[in-house]
Amino acid sequence: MSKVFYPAILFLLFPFIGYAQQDIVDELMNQQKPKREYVGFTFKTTRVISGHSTETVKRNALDFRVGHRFGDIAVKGISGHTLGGLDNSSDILISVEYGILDDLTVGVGRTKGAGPVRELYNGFVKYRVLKQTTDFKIPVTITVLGNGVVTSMKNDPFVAGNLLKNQPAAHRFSYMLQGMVACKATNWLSLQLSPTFVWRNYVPHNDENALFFMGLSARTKFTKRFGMVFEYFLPITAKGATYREYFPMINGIKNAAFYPTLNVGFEFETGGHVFHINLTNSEGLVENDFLPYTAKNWAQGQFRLGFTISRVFQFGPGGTFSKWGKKAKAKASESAK
Amino acid sequence: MKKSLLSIAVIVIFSGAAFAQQFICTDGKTHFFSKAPLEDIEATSLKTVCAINTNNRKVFSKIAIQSFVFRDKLMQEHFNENYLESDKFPYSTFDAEIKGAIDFLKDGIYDVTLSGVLDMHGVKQTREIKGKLYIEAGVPVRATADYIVKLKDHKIKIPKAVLMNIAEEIKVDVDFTFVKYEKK
Repeated sequence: MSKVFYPAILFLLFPFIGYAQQDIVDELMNQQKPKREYVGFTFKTTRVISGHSTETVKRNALDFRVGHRFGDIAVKGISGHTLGGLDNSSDILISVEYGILDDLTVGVGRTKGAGPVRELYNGFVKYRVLKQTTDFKIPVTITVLGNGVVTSMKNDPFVAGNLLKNQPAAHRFSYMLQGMVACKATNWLSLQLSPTFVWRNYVPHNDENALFFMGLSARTKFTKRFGMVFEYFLPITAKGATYREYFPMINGIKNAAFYPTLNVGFEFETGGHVFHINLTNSEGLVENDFLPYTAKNWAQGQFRLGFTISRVFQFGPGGTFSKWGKKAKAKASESAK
Repeated sequence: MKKSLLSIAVIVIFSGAAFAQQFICTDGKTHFFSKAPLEDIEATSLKTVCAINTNNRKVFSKIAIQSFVFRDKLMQEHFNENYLESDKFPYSTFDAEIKGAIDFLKDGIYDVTLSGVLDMHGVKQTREIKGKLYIEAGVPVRATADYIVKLKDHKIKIPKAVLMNIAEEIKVDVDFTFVKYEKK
């Protein structure tokens, strides 16, 4: 027996047998594989349409955004004279958003304002708490957002009078707190739930300071660079709050004072730009504006064309501007020699 | 009894070939550079894996596309998502054989030609790549190579809007340091 085992043991001592290059490389590759791989690009940009997505601006990058919402497209007797609302601008947004960390973004922006409160300056902080992994062990990405808005209006938006003289400064502010839970279910389908809380310091008579909404958003991709986006904010109001009664059909009233935000759009991406072209019943471009004050109804043709352009500039070495930097010029002249 | 002896004998004979000299690299540097009118783009991976067999002169190297690091993170995501499609084609490999006269036991820097198949973005291309092999103390310790990858050859499509930003021919250079392979 020992005659059999001796060579067998010898053979075990040299376990190189049959190892092709590919096997060795594959084995080494598996060893260095990270335990967790995170899902990227749940949405193409930091906004779904008007509302935020779970995406953040990358570290050291600056996202410059311009948004526009035109006037009502199909209201009888009005839209014909404005070429489907193209003559009117419901709201205009200009904002810059900077990535302090990959998961932490701060932004400031200006909107004209579409509701009664106009001349809005907004600032926000956005932080991604949890990242979805490709193996679905962490099935969702979670981002939180805090937003503050201040108006520079001279006149009181709700009653006749001077806002500056007759009201305390606090009445210029409103806030929004939002949690976003998104899942990139497949490569072409992303879904998001966004519980949202809006607090306005100053509201019209009979209205409520605190408002709750549940945002439902989705993105589906047709090609790598082209997709469709959808967004809906369901108002969650206390029963009996007649002033903010939504859903006229259900509540048996003819016209509601407010309608939930319902937006659809197309999304195109070309290198550093992301374009959105969309149809929205909401007019505003900041949550503090379009969540409390959307009074337009799709069924009456009160929806509008809108677009948003996002351009991301990367700072630091190797970024967008490095070609014009001093170091880059020195390097270029060196390599030319 | 005879059968088992025979089979062991067969294994032992085959294992003769298995005392192969394998040299590996797990932290190989792969760097590429795209020079276009509007933009220079470059990225580096320090996680290329490569193995050389000095007996049969076979070389196999593999890189995870996601291991390329760009300075511009957005660019890195576009590279993975839109151009190399790393979710569909996570790896690029080069399966090749060393051509030309070379004595693996004699120290020196050898000009070598690698002939084999480059698999990138799911498209296989037969390539001849020139490089240098450094032999010190009778073992290969380092290898370098540079070559051009034409995006068209690997069906990597560039939209017209960024034609001025991305070169059609990408310069790639690699630098691997080898150690003897010992199975853990």
